Amino acid sequence: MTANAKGMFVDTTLCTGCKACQVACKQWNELPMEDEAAVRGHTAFIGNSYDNTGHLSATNWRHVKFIEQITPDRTDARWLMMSDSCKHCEQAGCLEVCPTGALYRTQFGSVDIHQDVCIGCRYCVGACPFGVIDFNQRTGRVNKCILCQDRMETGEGTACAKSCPTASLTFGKVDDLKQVAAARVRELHAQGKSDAYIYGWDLGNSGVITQGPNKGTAVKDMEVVGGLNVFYLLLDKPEIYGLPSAPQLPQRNFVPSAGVALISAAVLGVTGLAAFRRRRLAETAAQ
Amino acid sequence: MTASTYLLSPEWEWLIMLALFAAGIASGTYAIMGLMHFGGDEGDRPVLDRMGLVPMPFMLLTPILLTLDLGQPLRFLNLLFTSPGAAERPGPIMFNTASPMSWGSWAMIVFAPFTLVAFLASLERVRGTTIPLLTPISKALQGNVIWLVVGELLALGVSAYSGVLINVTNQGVWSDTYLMGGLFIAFSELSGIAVAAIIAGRVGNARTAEGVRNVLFGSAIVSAVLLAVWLANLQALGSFTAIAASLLVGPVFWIGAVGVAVLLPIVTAGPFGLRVWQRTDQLVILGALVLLGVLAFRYATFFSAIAFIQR
Repeated sequence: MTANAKGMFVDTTLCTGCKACQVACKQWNELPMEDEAAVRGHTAFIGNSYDNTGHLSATNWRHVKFIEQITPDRTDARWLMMSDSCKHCEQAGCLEVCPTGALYRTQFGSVDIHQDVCIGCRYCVGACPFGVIDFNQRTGRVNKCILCQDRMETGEGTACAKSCPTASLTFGKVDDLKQVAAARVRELHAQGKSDAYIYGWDLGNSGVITQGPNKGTAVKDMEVVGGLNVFYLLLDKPEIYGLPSAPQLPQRNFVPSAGVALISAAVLGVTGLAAFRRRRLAETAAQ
Repeated sequence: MTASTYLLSPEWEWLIMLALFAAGIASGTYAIMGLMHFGGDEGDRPVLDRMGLVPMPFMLLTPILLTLDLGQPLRFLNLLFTSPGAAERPGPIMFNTASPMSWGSWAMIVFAPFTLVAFLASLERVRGTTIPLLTPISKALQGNVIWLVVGELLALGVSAYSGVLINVTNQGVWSDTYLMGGLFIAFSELSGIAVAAIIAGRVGNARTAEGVRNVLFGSAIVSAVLLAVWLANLQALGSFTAIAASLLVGPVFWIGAVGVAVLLPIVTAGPFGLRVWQRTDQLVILGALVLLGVLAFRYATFFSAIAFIQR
């Protein structure tokens, strides 16, 4: 892990879904509408929730998810909300597959993109286990949250965290944030919210989900892809929030795949040579 | 309601698929030339010489298609040389060992001169056309065993890299097994032997035709085994329907990749083959159909990731 890495702690129990973070991100980074014609034609909204963007994209670097959980008999309900973005993974699949060095690790431990180096090959898009990085049709390059690199360089925090009215988003040193997160989980457990746990780092917490369709399921802190510099306090299984329960680096396949390719090449080579030489054997046998 | 997991598609479409098809023809043809060189004899020479004309045009076509896809051709250079904007990277050469795309780009760059040498040597043998300086060098290199072996290895690298590349992602179907590199090599070899069949059908003798049929049969058997293992793996992992039952890729996969590229050569070119297309000139039909089948395989595997997301 980068010494003094900066990141964010996302406490989903404090999120009210106000989307101030989305607006602040759009404003600070001067991000355009995703599809202006669709917005003007009132067809851009997903229409089944207060979620108005649906997913992260090249122009939506932050996305507030709304998850409604209502029991079939409608006697119990809860509304989970989560402000999502790039996780700035410690082992970042996007960065590792980038063939041009456009994606790079900053001095703050975040993953940024040199826009002038990106060739728009989109390999990183297919490699990200979280579906974060996206191809920008207007520029022919990829975009994602860059953890407000320009603000960090001047000693400021991220625009989204700055705008969050409930402190659901906290910016700071990752080591400090882990302590904040651990204390918050202990506090919630003490209040009887035993479902709270951390997604991104294993801080040693465990509990049981108390509400929703997964009620009674055991949960515990999860360190994924070497740790996430933007990590989450969740109240339900990761899949409920649209997060993979076991995200993997694409490089896990590299050596085995190359090995299978080599073996296949050897088999095909031997088969091919034998096939050509079989003619001679047949002729010899005939003589 | 559960929030959806969004695995975004890299939106690689027709241009990239066709580029990889072209690269497969180039590398597969070169690989088969090697097999014919080391396993064949003088009677195969007319076919071997003409095959040498094939890899280079397809290796030229590949970067053209890839750079067209990028939109701005000069950006391609950032794959090869470290851009001044990427100050963290050392040295003038851009090579990310963790990225199959980096390996593939360099494999194609290094392989291209081998295809040029084969082309020039064949041009002189087939047409009598010579280019001062270049033709004598090409003829000397093309007769050198070390050169041929290195060229073979590079051809295998070019054949395999795109399969390994899509294996090294997080996309459904592509990354579910370790078999894509092996499958891509097998189908590149099928496209190479299809090219050999087309040429042998036009200029080859009965003996060369027999050799081509033997290799076609053997390659199809290996491809069939790899396909069966791959599909069994996908079935076990739950992503079988994304390729087998999808309207987007299913029919093309079963009819083109399985039926035409693999089963057709097994049935018609094998020792227990049907008595169809047994004349040497009819190899042209078989070769053309197998090439179409390989194209179907490229299409089906390439677009299976989109079919997986659309499930």
